[in-house]
Amino acid sequence: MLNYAIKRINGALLVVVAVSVITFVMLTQISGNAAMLALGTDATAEQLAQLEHSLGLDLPWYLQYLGWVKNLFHLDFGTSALYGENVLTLVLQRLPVTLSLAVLSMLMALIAAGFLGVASAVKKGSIIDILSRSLMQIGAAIPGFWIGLIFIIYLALGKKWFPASGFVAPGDSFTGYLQSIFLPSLVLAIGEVGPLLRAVRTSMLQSLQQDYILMAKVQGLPAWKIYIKYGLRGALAAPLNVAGMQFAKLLGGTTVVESVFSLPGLGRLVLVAVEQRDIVLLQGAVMFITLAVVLISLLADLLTAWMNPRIRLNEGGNAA
Amino acid sequence: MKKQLLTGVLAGLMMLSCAGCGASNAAGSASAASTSAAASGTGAAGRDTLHVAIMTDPEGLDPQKTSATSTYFVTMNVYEPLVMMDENWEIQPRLAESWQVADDCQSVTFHLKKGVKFHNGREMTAEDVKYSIERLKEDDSPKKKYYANITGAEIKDDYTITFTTDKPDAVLLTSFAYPWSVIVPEECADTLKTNPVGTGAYRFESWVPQQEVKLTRNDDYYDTPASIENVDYQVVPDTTTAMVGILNGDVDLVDVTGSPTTPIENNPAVSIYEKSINSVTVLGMNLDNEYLANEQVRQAMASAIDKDEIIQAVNEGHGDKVGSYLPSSAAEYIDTNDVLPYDVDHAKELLAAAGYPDGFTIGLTLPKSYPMYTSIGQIIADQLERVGIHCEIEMVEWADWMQNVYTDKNYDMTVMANSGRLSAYDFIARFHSQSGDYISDKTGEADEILDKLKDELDADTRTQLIQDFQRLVAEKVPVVPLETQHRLYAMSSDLQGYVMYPSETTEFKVLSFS
Amino acid sequence: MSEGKKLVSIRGLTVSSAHRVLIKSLDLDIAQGELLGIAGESGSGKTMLMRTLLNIPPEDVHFKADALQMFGADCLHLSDTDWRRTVGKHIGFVPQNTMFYLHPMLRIRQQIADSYVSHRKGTLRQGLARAEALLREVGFDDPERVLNSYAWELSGGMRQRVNIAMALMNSPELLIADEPTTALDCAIQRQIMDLFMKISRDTGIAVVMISHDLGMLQQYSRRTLVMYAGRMVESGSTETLFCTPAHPYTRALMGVIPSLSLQAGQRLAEIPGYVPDSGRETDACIFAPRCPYAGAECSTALQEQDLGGGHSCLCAKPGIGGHDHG
Repeated sequence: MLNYAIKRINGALLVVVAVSVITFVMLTQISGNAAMLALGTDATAEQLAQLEHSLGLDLPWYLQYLGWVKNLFHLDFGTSALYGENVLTLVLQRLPVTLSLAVLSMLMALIAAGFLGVASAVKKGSIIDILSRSLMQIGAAIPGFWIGLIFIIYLALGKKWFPASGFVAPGDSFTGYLQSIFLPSLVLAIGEVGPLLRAVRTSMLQSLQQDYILMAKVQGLPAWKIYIKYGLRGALAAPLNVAGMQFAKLLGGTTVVESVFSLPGLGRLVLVAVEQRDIVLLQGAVMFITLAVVLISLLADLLTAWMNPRIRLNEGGNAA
Repeated sequence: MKKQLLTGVLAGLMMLSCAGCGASNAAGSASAASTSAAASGTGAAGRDTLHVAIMTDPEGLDPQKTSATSTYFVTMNVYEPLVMMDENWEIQPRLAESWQVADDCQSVTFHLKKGVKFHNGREMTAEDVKYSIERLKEDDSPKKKYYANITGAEIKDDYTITFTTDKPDAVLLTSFAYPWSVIVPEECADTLKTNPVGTGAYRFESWVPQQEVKLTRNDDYYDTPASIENVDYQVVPDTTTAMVGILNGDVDLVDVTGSPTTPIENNPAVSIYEKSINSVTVLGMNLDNEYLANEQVRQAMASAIDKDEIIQAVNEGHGDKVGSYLPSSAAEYIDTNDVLPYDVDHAKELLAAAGYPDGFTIGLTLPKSYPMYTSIGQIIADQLERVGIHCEIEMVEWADWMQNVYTDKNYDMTVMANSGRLSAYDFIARFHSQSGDYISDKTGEADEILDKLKDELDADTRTQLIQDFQRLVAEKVPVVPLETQHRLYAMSSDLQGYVMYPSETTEFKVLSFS
Repeated sequence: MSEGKKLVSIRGLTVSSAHRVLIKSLDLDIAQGELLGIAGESGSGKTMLMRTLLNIPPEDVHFKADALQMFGADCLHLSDTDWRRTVGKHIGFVPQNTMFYLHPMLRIRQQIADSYVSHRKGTLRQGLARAEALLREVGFDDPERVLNSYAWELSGGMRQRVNIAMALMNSPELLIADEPTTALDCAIQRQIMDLFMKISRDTGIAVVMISHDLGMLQQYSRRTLVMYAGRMVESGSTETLFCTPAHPYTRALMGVIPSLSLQAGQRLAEIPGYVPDSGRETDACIFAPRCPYAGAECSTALQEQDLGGGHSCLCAKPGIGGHDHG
């Protein structure tokens, strides 16, 4: 288990470094830069050149990158050109929003996929199975912003159960917090449920083919014990993997929902940073997202490995 | 066991969320960055707060270091200039109570109001005025080139200061009436971006980027204090959500220019304020392009474009057709719409005469971040197609537009609106063939008028020259001027006193709830 | 055959899948305390019979029967759940492929007591106590270590013992062992079979052994049934069957058992042809195509022939060809 963990951690670090380089290169090579955007349409060419020079934007990208890395060692993520605020502060302000959305939507999707996946595997071919499979397709096809706006119009404007926009910190009001993240998380969950449901269903179907299920049936155990204790337990690995990947994807993919519901999350931060060519801000935000994604993937992998006693106790052990 | 681990991981993530909140509360901007429940369905908010929905964040809160209107919309309540141009294009006093412009238009003396305090408690003096104006000449000031002419600043006493110029400037006074020519305290200059300090009727309270900006009434204001106690700007990127906010009562004021207003038009809880913007939307053209260098081609294009259709389709009729490059609201404006009216047959004739009876293909670069201009561009492409001119549309991000179109002049045609100046000359100066601007009249035909205008001091002669310019542009069309759009604000019907100035700013201190 | 109480009684069982008949018109009785062997090669239907009895048929398989009773319950009119509960309460199942019948992610202690807790309504602690006792009985010196192990940490023989212990948890009246000696080496085989015998002696549990290993069945069962292509072609006491087999198939099988007196270089006898998959629905003799004695009467509807002393045979010419055997 330890060897496995170490190997995965090394891989993860490599990913983080690679992403930081790629992001930097991409943003410095595309057209437009922060100086140009700040000065707008009234500046002269000389002015632009001077500002670019003082901001260091005329240096080749690897020198700019090295400068950024140097600061990193002092744990200084730099200052946003756009907002004038410390990048670390900006990112940490937004982390709770994105995390909340990711966690809540993942929970919703897991619960739905769990129930429906197990039910449709156990009752293969029944109404529940057919309905679940339809849900999978529909959920994947509906555009997030559309369903988000529908929710806002009917549930926020119409019924006033939820706020139309804005994020309420849990510190201010816990119920307000839940209300403000419920709808956006639901929108995300609808998109995420599909693949998860499929993974649970397929995995469950496989597990239910196993002989230990036969044994459980022969022993006349109650249904829930057969399907949950024996069936589901053997079916957790693949869905967990899928869930890990989806969660990781969510961390960087909440932009649309954040825009529709006016939530100040990492997604919008990245979007604005790219639009405004705010390199330092983008690097900081992307680094965080990458770290989070890598960490989650790592955790999911380790969890899956740990859950399988054969890997946990001996390195991919063999039967005695 | 595994269940416990899973719960533990989830709990850990939740705790991380809350820790982050704590971090944001502690490490926020100047004051506590409280994300209050004000925007969450509380219905009719207490009438001590004006809830404004804005589409994008301000680009920093230092109006001297940015040219974004989103910034001015906030800073106009926190800082103040020496003078202001009101809705009738008349100069009104602000921090200066009186002034004298020299006859030779090479100097202006301001007499400052006494007892004006910055939000940090210190009294404003002539030193601050000198500092602020000179700050506009710094390298990172976007408006630097407009203040290059002001070369001298002489302080007579604490409340008197004289500015002198290199060359005579007939509209010198207007330079001091802009959202960026505000007076700032030197000791706070470095942090104005995140912690603005001015003399305005509202003081800055907090800014959580991408979320909200909060202002609160300045009770030490030297003039009548503001009626509404707090101003709360909420960033709402989606217009539909903002509309829902207005209908919900969560939002009191939102810019709805270019959005369909049918859902709110007849709603008694909402009123709409409409005013011509001080700007002109144009089909910009690069006269280096072989087709566009030909005057007849340009005239053909102008004749092929149905401006009424555009205004109806994109602005729902909320726009003024213009035939030349000056906003319809400008004092010197004359109607030149009949110089090259919409006439498809005439367009085809001109094209044939120019040597392109079968039309040609040309590029059209449109900025994605401005849906209005992309809509206009697409309609124009459609209209030009009818006379055989095929436009290859390229949608670009704003930064790309800035690079390719504005800086590198690497484009054929584009659609953009240019904001007006308080003086016509500043607005049209870019048409000088030497201007190096992204749109200009490279043929040099406008040069004569512009050169004369620069040095002319007599007001009537100036007006005449400006009108000559308009006729010239209407005829030669170095760009195809389209319209002056109207800005539309949707607001709660109990919000009184809304008025917009030519510099496209509004002072919230005059607003009140009835 | 001892006239003990009938634990299981099946009449006229026909099992079919979507395409074809697998078992046709089978009758079976299992008496209390008996040692019954069901012999057959692969494809004979013995596994399908077992699975139908235990109500764990494969997905597309269904059956009909004139009667199917066990332990006083009429299974034909019971719900699936109730039937399985009856099975779980009274029957202990010792599976063949030991590895996969135990859940790889649960320790032995986490699965061995489930049936006990479910049927006896006892607590987990009581269940584990009983498990420990049973593990000792089946020959483990250190039951605690076994309980804490995962299935894949144990050897094949150890797993077999664990299965047996698990099967005994509810003090069943009937033990069904599916190929109990396959995949075990000889020494272990003997140990396991001796264990079965010991259990039967001590507790009076009936043991049904399903196997293709005729030698083993001859040694350990008291009554034997022979299955071929979904039919029970012969049944009787083991002694009778092995000494004087009546059905040509049985006789051929006996010839196939290698005898210790086989000369080196002498070929093993074999039955030409294969066990037919299709055509099992016929009323005629299913073995006829391969039978060296087949005649015209074999293509008419077959009747079971009672040869006395509990020995019966499904053949038109039982005993033909004499009683010679290898």
